[in-house]
Amino acid sequence: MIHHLDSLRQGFEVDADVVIIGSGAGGAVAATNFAAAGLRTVLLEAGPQISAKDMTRDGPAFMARHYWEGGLRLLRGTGAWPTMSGRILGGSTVINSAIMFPLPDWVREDWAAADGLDALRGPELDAAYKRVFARTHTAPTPESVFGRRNVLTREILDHAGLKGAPLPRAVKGCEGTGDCLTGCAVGAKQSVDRSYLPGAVQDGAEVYTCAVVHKILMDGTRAVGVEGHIVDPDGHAKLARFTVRAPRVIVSAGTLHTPVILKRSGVTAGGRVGGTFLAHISSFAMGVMNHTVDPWIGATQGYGAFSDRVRGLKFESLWAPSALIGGQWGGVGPDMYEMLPDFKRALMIPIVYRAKVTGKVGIRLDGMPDAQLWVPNEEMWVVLSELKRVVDSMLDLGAEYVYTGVRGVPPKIRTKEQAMSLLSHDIQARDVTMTANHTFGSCRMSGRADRGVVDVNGKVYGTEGLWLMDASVFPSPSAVNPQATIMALADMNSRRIADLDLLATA
Amino acid sequence: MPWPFSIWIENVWHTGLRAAVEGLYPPDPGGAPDGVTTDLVARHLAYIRSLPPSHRFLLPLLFFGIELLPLALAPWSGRFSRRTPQARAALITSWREGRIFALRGLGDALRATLQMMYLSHPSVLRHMGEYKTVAYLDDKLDMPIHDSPDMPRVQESL
Repeated sequence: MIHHLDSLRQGFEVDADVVIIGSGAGGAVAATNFAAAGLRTVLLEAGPQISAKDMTRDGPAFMARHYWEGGLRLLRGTGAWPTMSGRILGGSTVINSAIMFPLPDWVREDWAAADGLDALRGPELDAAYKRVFARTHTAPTPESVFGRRNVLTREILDHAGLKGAPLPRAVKGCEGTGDCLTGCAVGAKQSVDRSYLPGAVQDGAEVYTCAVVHKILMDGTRAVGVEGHIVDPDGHAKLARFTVRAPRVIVSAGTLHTPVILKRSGVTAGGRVGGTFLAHISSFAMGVMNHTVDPWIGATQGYGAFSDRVRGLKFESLWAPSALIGGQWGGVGPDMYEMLPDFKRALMIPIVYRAKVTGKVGIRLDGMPDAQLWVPNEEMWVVLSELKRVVDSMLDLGAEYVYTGVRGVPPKIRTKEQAMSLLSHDIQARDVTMTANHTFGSCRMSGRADRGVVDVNGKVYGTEGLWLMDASVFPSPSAVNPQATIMALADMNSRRIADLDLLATA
Repeated sequence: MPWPFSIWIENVWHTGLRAAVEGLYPPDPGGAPDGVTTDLVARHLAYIRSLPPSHRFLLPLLFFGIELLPLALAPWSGRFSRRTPQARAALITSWREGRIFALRGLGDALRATLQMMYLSHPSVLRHMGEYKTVAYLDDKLDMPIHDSPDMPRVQESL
């Protein structure tokens, strides 16, 4: 059963076999497996369940209600960069582009070798990926929903010598509405609220929305439950307290919130909780072509390519609500007005890179995560050198100008000579406009208790009954979109905890 | 805090917001919707009310800073709102293009938050030519809907 705000205004106290914090990629998969194994399962989600009446293409209004911190969360450190995550039943799977890549073999080997996680080499993880891809109907984006933007992206990447392919996405019957970032009103995206949670509820899981966990209840080193507040998604007022008592506690609150909950609960793993923080860095080229593109039509992210020169660097198509795309692009006043007709001819190709970065996650005075990310200039120069390939290709294929959001280069790059400025080493990392939505590693997984927070099963070292199942456990960036790996690890580890495979055999 | 002080603070940041809208979204002879047409001040106030508590504090702080910072940086020039709309736009542009990271951040944040609201008004979407092929029945945003030559409706039924 899914409990909504109206029935929770007085708070609640329940007992369960397992309680899961967070209903996103990790939590929903875990809840489904625990419920299937017959465990009394409680799943807690900070946000509400989205319904048809909540669906809007008004980006700021949607984000204010369904994104953490209204979508205005910033990473401090080298720059002030946005990082977005969903505060909604289904977590960020509801508001991302549903791209599903398995962990590349070289990253998987890196995790296994460098961090002593040999078990990740085995077939168990492969089987988990297979189950996840099947359940979410993951398949390459069909060309029938490309729209002109994805077709053009393919031509630009081809011309740049980048061999690409339709992006694999968790989608069934996509209509190419390009609305992924504000939910999928046509119901095509197989976010976990559609692909997993109905099954979990059918098997008896109790799902509580608007339930914000404050801390884990600990009895010595043993986790015995959680407590928190019911929070109104409109106005954010705390309404009542709740307590869930359970001998198994799973934290799937995401890379930023998981360390905050652990720290508040006194679980620090010798300072390693939140002591690290990683993210893919990014940049983008916005080409304004000499013909109409209608970028708002077609799959949000339908086509992409991996760099043939830089390992761990990916190019992809993207469109978002114009309100978000246009936040930085262009000037003010009359200059901005002149730019408005350019939207119709624009397309955007972001670059995402597995750079060597450092960071940490603390707690702000208001209880929210305080994440800092430090990006070396040299790593950003790698991104900009690859960005230049895209800019050159756009210009070759008829772009009137290209906007990159990089300070120190012309705001409208019209020639390849001007594009050379992207290679200048005068550019600092903080001069680059980027978002960092792929975040990892705030509670790293390691084979050694003195180097990580959790073991290969996601169990928190030095505690009993406490596991983590989200991207906070990634030892290093995944080099691809993390959703499939979060789901596969959660599937593998929750099945172990629930002995689901044993039950199936029996 | 004593109520006269809180009223003063509210007056300052409301003035800063109005002045920024006048400066950055003036009437356009070319026909683009302006700050008045898009009801930018009222919509922005409603947007701020819908945000989580920390941002209900930070965004007013931004407009408070915009209104008073010019006074601190160049006392002879007066508050932000005392300048002409053109001078306000020029000031924000100079901050955004300048070398001081904090002022760049301030200018970018102001521009981004106002532009986000501006670009989510139906009249602006129409002016830009934006449309979708599938209607949202309960969407308060009046998005133009029609077929696209590049995106024929898919036959798969949900």
